[in-house]
Amino acid sequence: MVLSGTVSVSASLLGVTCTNSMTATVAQRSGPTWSTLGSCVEDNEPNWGANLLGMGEPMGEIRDKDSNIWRIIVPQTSEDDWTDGVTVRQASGGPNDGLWYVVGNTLEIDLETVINKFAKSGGPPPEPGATNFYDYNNAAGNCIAADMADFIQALKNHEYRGTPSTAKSLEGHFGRIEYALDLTGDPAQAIEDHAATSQAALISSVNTTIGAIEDSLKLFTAHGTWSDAGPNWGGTGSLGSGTCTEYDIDNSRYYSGCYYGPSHF
Amino acid sequence: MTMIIPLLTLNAIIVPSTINTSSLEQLLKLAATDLTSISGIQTQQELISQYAAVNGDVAAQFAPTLLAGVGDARSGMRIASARTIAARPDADAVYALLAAMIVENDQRVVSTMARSVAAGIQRLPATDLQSLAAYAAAQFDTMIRDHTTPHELRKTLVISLGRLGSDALPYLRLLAETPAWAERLHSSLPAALAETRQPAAAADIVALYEADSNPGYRTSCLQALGMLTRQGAALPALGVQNAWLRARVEQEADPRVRAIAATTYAKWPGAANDTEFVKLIGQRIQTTTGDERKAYLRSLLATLLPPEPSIRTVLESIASSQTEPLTHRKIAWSILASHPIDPR
Repeated sequence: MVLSGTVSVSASLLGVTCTNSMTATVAQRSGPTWSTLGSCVEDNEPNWGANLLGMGEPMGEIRDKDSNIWRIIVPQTSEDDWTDGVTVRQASGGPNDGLWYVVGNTLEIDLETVINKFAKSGGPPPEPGATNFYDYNNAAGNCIAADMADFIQALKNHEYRGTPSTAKSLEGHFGRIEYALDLTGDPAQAIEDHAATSQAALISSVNTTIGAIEDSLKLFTAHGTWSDAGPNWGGTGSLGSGTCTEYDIDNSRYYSGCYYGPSHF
Repeated sequence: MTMIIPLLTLNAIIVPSTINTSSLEQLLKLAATDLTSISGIQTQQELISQYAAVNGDVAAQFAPTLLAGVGDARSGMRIASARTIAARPDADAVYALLAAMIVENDQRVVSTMARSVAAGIQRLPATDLQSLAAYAAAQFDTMIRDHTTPHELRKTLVISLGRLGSDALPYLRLLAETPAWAERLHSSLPAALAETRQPAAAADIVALYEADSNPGYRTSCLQALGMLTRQGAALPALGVQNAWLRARVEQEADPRVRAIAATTYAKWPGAANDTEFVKLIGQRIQTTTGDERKAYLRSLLATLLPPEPSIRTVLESIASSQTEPLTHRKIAWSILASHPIDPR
């Protein structure tokens, strides 16, 4: 609904016109309906991940829990369409007669992080008879010798809330989303005052507003200088460090050299 | 009633709270041509979006100039320009955006451009599309298959490819049939197929579902089917899928998969006439908790049916609860608000 405005009334009787106006201030609706819950479950899919063969397979990611894709504010009817997430109604009678407005919403942020099963301790080998990724890199003289446990933990922290795990940490994808929500504002609150003369126009307006927030959240959590720095990957003293090697399936051996690090996540 | 326009602050420039459209346009055009004084991506985006809102045609011509950019420092402008084109596209602007995307170095900007190309093409009239969608699909496919493309970007490209519609379906099927790519894109394929909005994609999604028994993957396939099911009234071919889907609600071993199947089935307009189904989700709302309960609540909301008196009582309890998860309360509230009781 409109947040505020001037209501004018004009009436004519026997050629005499009287006009009066007043300022109407409508308080924004508050309460549970107009806030958005944000949550993230760590390492939620034990069978996720493609074989690590040195061609850009991811070691981890953060995503929407139900759809398994990169959507933050849900439910989305389709990409950038939040029709299923809002309940709208048309006003009947009064100064807002005929206007469509948002009567409720079911928006939430319901994420999960996933860690590649091939990367973990006890993970499957890249092919039968081969050493698995974890054990090979962890072996003495190899890329992450005796430190793979920290490497995997740093990977998990990179997807979640950094090292140490801290709400709104700028060193983890989920932490960055939490942080960015303070900048963008709550999407449920952002659409509370939307109104339009048609249902289609209202939905379009809602989608524009939430879409802008979604875009901002995605941009803020995208990989940048934070991804391979700090307490997760920042070298000496950080939890994870260094790079690892992956499997050359064509030649049934691990690649020599250590190449794959945080840019892989 | 006089509408009060929200304040837009541009560094030292304060836009008056009430201003006529032509003055706003002049002010924004002036500021938009000299963005060196404007800092921050958000302010730049607001500026260009505000300008586009008052003069979309000029913005579409203006934005390609911004696409040229001046080094990485202007990435914010390129992002804002891409979004402007997506919101008010014409074929020439989308072509220009696609060309800029191919040569862009900043991966964040590429991601926004890809999404904007897809959104722009979705909004163009069919008469303007000509070969644009086919050309864009080929470009997206090339970038997806490039081994140097970061995974984060590749996921965005796959979904954006799907949004191109019928032109995307052959590319997605080929990716799904190539083992190396199918494995890497496994998680993204169901949603990408659904984004094509092609009825034939339903069979592809069902095939992915049948091939992977992991509950987490099956929920994503069901979610993807939900998008196509939404158009069930216009897609009679989906009738076969609805029977299969209905069976999933009762036969799936994993309770969460059953619940998501219910949410998807409920989106089909005919589900409201399935009295056994409606009765079942009412029962499950009362007997489940957590994510399952949330899914059944969403199912009831999706049917658009007024709740039975006994279910209404349960919903009122959920909506007013201090311990029920917030989203459960919001869904219960939305159902009640959609069907208020006549006080008379």
